[in-house]
Amino acid sequence: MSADSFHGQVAALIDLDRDALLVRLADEVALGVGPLDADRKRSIARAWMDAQRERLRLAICGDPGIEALRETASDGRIELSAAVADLVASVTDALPAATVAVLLVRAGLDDLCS
Amino acid sequence: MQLSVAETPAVSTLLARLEEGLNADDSRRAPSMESEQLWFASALSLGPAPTDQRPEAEQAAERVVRHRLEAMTEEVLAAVRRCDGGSDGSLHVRPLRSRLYAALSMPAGADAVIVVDDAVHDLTMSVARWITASWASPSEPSPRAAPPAVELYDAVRVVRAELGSVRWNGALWQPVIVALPDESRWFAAMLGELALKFVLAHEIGHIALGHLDRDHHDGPGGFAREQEADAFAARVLRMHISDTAGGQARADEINGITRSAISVAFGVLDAVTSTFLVRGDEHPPADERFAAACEGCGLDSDQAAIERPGRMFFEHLDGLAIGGVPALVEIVEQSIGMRFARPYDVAERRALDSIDRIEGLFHTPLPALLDVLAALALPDGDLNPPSEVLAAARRAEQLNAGDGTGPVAPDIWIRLAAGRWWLLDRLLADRDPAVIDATLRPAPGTRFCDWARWVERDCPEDQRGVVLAALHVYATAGPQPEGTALYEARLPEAVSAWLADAPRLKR
Repeated sequence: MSADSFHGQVAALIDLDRDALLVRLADEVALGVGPLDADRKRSIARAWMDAQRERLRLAICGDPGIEALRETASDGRIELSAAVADLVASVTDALPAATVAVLLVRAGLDDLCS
Repeated sequence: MQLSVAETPAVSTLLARLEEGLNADDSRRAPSMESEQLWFASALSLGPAPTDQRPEAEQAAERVVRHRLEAMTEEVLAAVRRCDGGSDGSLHVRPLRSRLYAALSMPAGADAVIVVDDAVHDLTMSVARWITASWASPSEPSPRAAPPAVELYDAVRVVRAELGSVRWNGALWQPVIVALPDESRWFAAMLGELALKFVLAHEIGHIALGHLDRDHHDGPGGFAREQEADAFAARVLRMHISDTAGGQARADEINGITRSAISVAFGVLDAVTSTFLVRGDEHPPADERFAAACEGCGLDSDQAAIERPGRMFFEHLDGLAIGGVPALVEIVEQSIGMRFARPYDVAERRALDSIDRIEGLFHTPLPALLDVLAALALPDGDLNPPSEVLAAARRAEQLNAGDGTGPVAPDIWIRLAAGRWWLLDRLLADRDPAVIDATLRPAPGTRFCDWARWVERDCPEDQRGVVLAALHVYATAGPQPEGTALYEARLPEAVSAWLADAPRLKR
């Protein structure tokens, strides 16, 4: 899968706010029985993202393509997110790459890579 | 799919973050400190545990639950392999003390982890027990013309409200309804455990069916995935029960047990949802899930089962005495940990029966229970109930003066429960002075092997974990001379090693 293939998915997510993205992420990574309201879903998603942080950092930070996009793309959140999604997807099949990528870019890759 | 009991960074980090994130807001959790202290004060007569030592005891107790969950998962996985072959990868299962009221499966690194919130574990086991207690077993004639019945939803709400107080009474990690005759205890334990196995099978289903894979993220919505996992779990559970029965159970018995366990699992989850008004839950309604799960493996889906699993459970046994159904006894006997080792004599059971039924909370005045306590001729100085017990007694009298049907606020339930359990613990703790005084109040220099011998010889198997956890706290923090002696005898280390010995404490 390439960055292009994530373009459409990212575009559909890029305007969602962080809370909505976290709820979506929880729906994607946490399946189970029992009631989960939005607050709990966001807590689960944040916990899951925290637990993946090191793997994501290793996969994304320092990647030449990402660095180039960060320097050149003036309004390229979609392009950058799609490229990040491609790297996220390379980590494992179990990651919801587009949602994770948009969340990372929304938070700022400096935050992840610093 | 293989169960892994190894710690991995991905799983450990995920669990730590979940616990931290979900427990950040403590305001919605039922207060439990008073009850915990009551437990420590009464169950072992050791004095209250210092607050700062409680986490250690909880960790020790959680290890016991983890071993149980892992053992149950192993059994479920065996049925999964027979049903659907399973899939590759390692599976971790962990208890989580949070506010989820749920069980989850999540990817963690290259593995998958199933998280079972303590409420799911506790409520499922406790509700199964209370249902069994309220219905009585067919071999135990009801004292009333009509058997006492407790709606599942009421049982869940009461247990939920009491969760703080039952946590350290053993009901969190294992059942302690002392009034149940052994057969009923077995059935309650079996019913609760099978319901939990359904939950575990549901989670395993999400993984085995590929729901956590990326390909599914844009696939069918949550309803379809949940129902697919439910149907998978129902098939697996039925297979597991059939395997456990060793081919000696009738098909209708296997179906009845399967259906009852599923109904308890869904009933608890649905009752919790409705009780706590959890919003935004995207699961299908419990009745639809129950119907779909049953239909998925050829079971009838009697709607009433959701509300009355206890009645359905026993009705499907066609009213036969439990002792007359060898296949069911076989199931129980083959399940390690479903035995309750401690025998109660007739007089003791009668005394406890009068206060341990659910309706006893309302209809047995606590002052009457105090009379029971006094009748046991305890030393004068020991009869010194905490103020909240006396307050609960007064409140119980007020309730009994009314018609007993009005709404009761959760804090009243908690106080009533605290009082009840305080008394139960006193009764139990003082029933056998030879054991309690000689062993639980050891002379300085008591060695851990003495405790271990007592635990092995006299302590109910299902209560060893919590006893040892309490001993751990006591020995670590006890200000009394005995605590110092035990500390010097390296009890904490020995208890930790004991608790780590999974096969001995699995159930």
